[in-house]
Amino acid sequence: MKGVMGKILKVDLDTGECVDETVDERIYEKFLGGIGLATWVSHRDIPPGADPLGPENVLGFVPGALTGTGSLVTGRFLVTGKSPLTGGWGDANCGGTFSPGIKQTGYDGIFVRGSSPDPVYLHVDHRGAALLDASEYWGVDAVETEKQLIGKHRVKKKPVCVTIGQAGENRLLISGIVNDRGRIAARSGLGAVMGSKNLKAIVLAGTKTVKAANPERMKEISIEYARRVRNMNLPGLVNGSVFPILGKVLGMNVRAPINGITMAGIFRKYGTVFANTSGLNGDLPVKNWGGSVNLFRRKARKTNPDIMMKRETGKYHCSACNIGCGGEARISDIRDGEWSTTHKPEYETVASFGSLLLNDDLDGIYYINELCNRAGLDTISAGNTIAFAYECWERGLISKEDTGGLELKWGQVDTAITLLRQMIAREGFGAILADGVKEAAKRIPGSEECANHAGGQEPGMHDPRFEPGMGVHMSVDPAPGKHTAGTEAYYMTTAVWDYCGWAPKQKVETKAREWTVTDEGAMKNVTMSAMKQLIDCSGGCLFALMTGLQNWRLFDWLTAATGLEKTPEDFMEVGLRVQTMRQMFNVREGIRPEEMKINDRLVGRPPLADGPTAGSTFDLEGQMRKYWENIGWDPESGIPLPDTLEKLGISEYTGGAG
Amino acid sequence: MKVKISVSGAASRAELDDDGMMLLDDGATVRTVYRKLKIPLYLRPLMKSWVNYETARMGDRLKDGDEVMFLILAAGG
Repeated sequence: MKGVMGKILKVDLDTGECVDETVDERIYEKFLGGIGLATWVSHRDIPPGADPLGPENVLGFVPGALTGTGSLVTGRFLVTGKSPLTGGWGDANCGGTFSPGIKQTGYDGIFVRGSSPDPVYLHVDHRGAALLDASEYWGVDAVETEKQLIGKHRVKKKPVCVTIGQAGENRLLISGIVNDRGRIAARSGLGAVMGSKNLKAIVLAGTKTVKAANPERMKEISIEYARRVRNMNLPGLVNGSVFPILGKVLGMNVRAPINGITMAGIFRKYGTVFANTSGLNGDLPVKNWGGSVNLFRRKARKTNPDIMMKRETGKYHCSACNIGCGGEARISDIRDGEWSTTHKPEYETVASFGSLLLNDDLDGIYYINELCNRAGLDTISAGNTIAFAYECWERGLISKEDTGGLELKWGQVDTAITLLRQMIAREGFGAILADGVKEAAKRIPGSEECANHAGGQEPGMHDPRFEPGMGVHMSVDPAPGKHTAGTEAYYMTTAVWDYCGWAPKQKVETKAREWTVTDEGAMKNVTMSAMKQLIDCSGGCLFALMTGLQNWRLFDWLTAATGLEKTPEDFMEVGLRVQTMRQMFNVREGIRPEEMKINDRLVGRPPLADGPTAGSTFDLEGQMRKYWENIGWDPESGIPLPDTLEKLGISEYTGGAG
Repeated sequence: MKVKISVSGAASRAELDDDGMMLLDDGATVRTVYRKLKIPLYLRPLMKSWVNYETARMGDRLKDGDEVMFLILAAGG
């Protein structure tokens, strides 16, 4: 298969060995690359029951099959392994510049097992791979470590680097892995896995090129996508103050197939922060998911996207991205100018430390953003955890004696910053919170009702009471709690039904249908899962998928890059295969899929009393069962059926029947 | 002639078929589409439109097979 490098790098930190492994062509045809390749390696190389923070866990870094081939918005990578946060399959998706850097060293993945007795970092260039002493970088934050390592290894071409910060070193179960000065593979707690291995960083300085099967065709498709995105400029009247209106339009009781390319204009201008105010339609979680948006409506004015744009000094693009939703932001005037710049906070971060805490101190959120990026801390999990603590305080479950004198009152950003610093260092009351909501709830008696998570992972900032599909995906995905796994609002923009015969066509219909359990709704969710896994095999970006497959022509790029004679349905089957591989990983770890569901509060049990989602509740368990049935997993247990494993051709990799 | 329409919640879909196609008389313009979609007046300034991925003006004439798109918003994060 073209477009890939044909081998992976296996690093054993117990022995210090770095060896190449040639990957069979058959594996590429089944899994393509990226997360697919990682599921195959993980099933094979991680022993069942392995301690996620022990030497047997295998930490994978994988670019996509399309990364570096000339396609657009396909420069993302995934970090994979057994999650210490959920005890099951873990993956974290990240942009930046690291992904093509892996392929340029000649590999389709780097997989690290073992545990080094002393801190090391992996360096790979044209001479090969070597483990080098990282003692001097241990304890240094991620941004500074990256700067120093790139400076040290820069010859002509600038190397790329991923690293953990202090949160990963201290094995916080909500820590991630950072590249490009703050882009973070945040979810699943994989920073703690890297920390447990005493692996501080990976520095790559390869120069190999990636060969597509049909480069002319690749170019042709890319040029047309670039043209379409370029033309999606917003009118001047569309600014931060009108997003609440547009958000209301989104929240209206109608679904229809729409061309998602116009989203590119919003992403280009604002990035994700448009949702700061559009989320007032009911999508925005408030006060530890316990309040309605009415509680935050006035405060949200201070997180208006236009205010954030005033701090933006330049746009930020991930590798091979022509949308460029990221931004560089000036923060030299914030908190004594401790740091001069940060990546523009994503909506997820603004909500996690804004509405979730009833905090409208935007400068404080900028500061937190950089603090978490440097420490390598997942802002979604950290924000949820601090909101949990604030609610515990409000309910009288903790007192000043527990918190070391801190008063955890809603809206206080300074307290949140203090707690974050304590969490990162595992000191004081922060040590109670350092491993996320689920673990913290075990440490604070009576707090279970305040703990919002799915199978141990804290939920992203989109309210399932506004879109039930968000809650279904957060619950059925083998790496639960992720807002990126899917929802109806994503589906309606993809046009996947024009390419894949079994994908339900998005009809003009009421949004209210999504509150009921139907086979059609379940099949949309299954299709969404397959698409998400396929783009994670390819290195693609969810936002590009949302611009529509008629524009972001994933299937055509895959054909032109790989040279495989596959139909779109064949490629979608790869997505189903990978989703089932991920689920089988959880099954072999003894996880019961029903345990991965979001907690009752997010389902509207009890429902909110006011706001746009007042009274909203839905049959989550029924929707999960319908999803399992439609994807070919047992509808009662969620365990993939033997026939499904056979049909997908993965029995041999998963240890047989489910 | 038939043109394909892509528009989100606020529009009337009475003139659209299941595939989002709208039947128009020859000589129809983008303005005709706005009227048939009954987009509320308060939203019109925000509803930028494109025809075949190029910025469109109200008076632009449409032809059979054109695709008319309006600004939409989906969740993101």
